[in-house]
Amino acid sequence: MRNNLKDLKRELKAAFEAPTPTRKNEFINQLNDPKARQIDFFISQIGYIRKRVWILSSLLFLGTLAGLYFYKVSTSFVWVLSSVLPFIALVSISEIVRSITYNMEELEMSCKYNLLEISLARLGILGITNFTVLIGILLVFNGKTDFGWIRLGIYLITPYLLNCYGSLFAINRLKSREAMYICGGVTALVCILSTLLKVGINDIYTERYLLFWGLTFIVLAVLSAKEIVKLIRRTEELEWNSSLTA
Amino acid sequence: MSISIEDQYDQIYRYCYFKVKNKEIAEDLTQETFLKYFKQSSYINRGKPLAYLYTIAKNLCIDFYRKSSREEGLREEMGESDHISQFETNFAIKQAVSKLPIDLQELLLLRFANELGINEIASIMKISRFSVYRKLNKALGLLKASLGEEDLL
Amino acid sequence: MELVIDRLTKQYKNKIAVDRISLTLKEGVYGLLGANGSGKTSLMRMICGVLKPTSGEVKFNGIDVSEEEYRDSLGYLPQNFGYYPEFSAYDFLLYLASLKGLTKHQAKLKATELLELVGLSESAKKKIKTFSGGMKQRLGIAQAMLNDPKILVLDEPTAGLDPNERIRFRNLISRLGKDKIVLLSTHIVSDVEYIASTILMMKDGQIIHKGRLDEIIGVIEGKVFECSVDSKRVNYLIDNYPIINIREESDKTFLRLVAEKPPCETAVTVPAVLEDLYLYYFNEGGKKS
Repeated sequence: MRNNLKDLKRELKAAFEAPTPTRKNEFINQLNDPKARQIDFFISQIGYIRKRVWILSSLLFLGTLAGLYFYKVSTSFVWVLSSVLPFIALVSISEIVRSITYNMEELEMSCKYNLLEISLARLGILGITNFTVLIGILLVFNGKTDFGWIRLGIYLITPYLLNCYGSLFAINRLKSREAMYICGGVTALVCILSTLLKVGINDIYTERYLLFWGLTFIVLAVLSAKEIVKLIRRTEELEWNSSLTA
Repeated sequence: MSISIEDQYDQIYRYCYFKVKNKEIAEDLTQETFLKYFKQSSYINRGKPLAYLYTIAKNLCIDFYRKSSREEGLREEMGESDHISQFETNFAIKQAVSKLPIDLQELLLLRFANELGINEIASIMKISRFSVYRKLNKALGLLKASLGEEDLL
Repeated sequence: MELVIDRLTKQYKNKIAVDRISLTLKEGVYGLLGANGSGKTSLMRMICGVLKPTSGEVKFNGIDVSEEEYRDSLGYLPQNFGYYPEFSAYDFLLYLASLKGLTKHQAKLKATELLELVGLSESAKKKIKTFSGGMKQRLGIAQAMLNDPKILVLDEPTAGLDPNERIRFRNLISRLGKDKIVLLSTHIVSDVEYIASTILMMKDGQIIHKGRLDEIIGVIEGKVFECSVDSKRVNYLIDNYPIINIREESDKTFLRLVAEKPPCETAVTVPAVLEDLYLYYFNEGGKKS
C-alpha cells in the first residue's frame, strides 16, 4: 500500500506534466536586468565624450610637468600655459553643444533621458575634468613661483574664462549649427588678445595690475555662469524656428 | 520578497497550463503573473506570498477564459491538449484524473505536482484545512475506484 | 490606453500654429493630413514634449507630457534628424537605446532585432554618412521602436522611401497599430488611405475633419466631377471651382473638380477618393462653390 501511495504521487505528478516552457531564462534575465537607472545613463555618457577631450587634458597636464622639469619657471611660462588652457574650454564647450551641432537635439529631447539631462551630464563630466586639470596644474606649480595660489590661479584661468564666456555668448545668440567654428574663432581671438596684452604691457603680472586681474576674473566667472544657465535652459525645448515647416 | 522566480516559474506554468491547455498562453500568463506580483507593493497581500502568487495566476486564467469564450467558444470543447507525454504508462491515470471534477483536479495538481502545503492550498482555494483534507481523500478515493487497485503501480 | 490632448495651443508672435486642438487617441493608426504650415509638425512636437505648448495639456494615461515616465512610453521620428558623424547604424541605435533607458544587454538585442526588421542588417556596421535617404529613414523608424513605446509619433515617415520600402513600412505600421497609438503625418495620401484607421485633417492649426476614411469622404461624395471641355470653358471653370486635376488633351482639356452641381453639360460624377478631399481643402486655387 505504501508503495502504491508513493507511486501514485509520482504518477500524479507526471499526469500534470506540461510541455517545457521555453521563455523562462529570457524572462528571468529581463527581470534581473531592470531598466537602466539614471546612474547607468550618466556612466554611458562618459563613454560618449570624445577622446579628444581626454587626450588634450592629458597632454596639457603632462606638457606642464615636462615644461617645469626642463625649463625654469618664469612669468613667460605662466603666460604660455594660460594661453593654452582655453583650448580645453574649446573642446569642452563644443562637446556640450554637440547635439545641436549635429542636429540630434530633436531626437534626444524626446527620449527618456532627454537633452536637458544629457547636457547636464556632459557639463558635469567636463566640469569635473576641467577642474581637475586646473587644480592639478596649480598643485604642480606649488611653490615654484613667486605668486600665491590664488594669484597664480587667477592668471591662468582668466583667459580660459574669457574663452568660455565668449563662446557661450555666441552660441546662445547665434541660431547657428556652426557652434564649433564659433568656438574656434573665439579661442583664436583670446589667444591673440592674450598675446597683445603680454607684449603690450610687460609687467602685467605685477602687483600693479592685481586689481585688474581680480575684477576681470570675477566678472568673467559670473558672466560665464549666467551663459551656462541660459544654455541649459534652452535644452528644455526646441527653439521655435519659423523657417521650419510647421 | 520571498518568492524565487527560479523555483516558482515551472510551478505556476504547470498550473496555468492545466487551466488553459496551451503552451504559449500558459507561458504568457505565467510571466504576467510574476510581473503583477512584483508590481504590487502592498504588504497586506504579502502575508502568504505563495497563495497570493497563485491567486494572481488563477485570476489571470479566469480573465483569459472570459476573453476567449467570447471569441472561440467554451474551453471544454477544446478537448485534450496535444502535448504528447513522455510517460506513456500513466495514460490511464491521466484519463482518470481528467474525469474528476475540476476543483479536485486542481487540488491534486497543487498537492502532488506542485507539492504545496495544506495551508497554502487552503489559502489559494479559499477553503478550510479540513476541507482540503476531505477533498484530497475524496479525490484519491475516486481515482482508486476508477482505476482499480491492481493498476496502481 | 489613452492619449488625451486638451485644448492644445501653440502661438508664436503673430501666428497661431496650433489652435486649441482637443483629441483623445486610443490604440490604432491615426493619419494626420495637412499642407505645409497647417501645424502638423508643431502638434506632433508638442505631443512629444519637444515643444512647450502656449496653453493646453497632453497626457498619456494621466501622465503629463513633461514627465520622464511619459517619454518612456514614447517613440518619435522627427521630420529631419542628424547623427554623430562617427556612428554606424548599430552605434546610433545603441546610443539612443542608452538615452531611452535600456541596459547594454537589452540595447544590443533590440538593436539587432530592429535592424533586421527594417532591412538594415547588412549595413549595420557601416557609417551612417554612407547611407541613402531611404536607409537613413529606415534607421529613424528603427530607433523610434527601441523602447517598445506605446505611443509612436512619426513625422513624414515615408519620405525618401522607394515603393517597396513603403509597402514594407505600411505593413509594419499596421501591425504596430494593433496595440499601440500610432500617429503619423504625411503628404502622401495613399499612405493614409491604406493604413490609417482614423484620419485627421488639419488646416490652419485646427483639425477640420476626424473620422474613418468613408466617413470623411462623405463630405464630397457625389460632388466630384470629371469633364473634358474646350479652352474657352477651361478658364471659367478654373476660376470658379476647386480643380483637382488638369490634363491637356489634343483638342480639349480634361478636368477633375469639385462642385455642388454638374459644372457643365458633359460632366460626370465620379467616386470621390481621399486625394480629392485633400486637394479640395488644401488647394489654393478656385473658389469653393
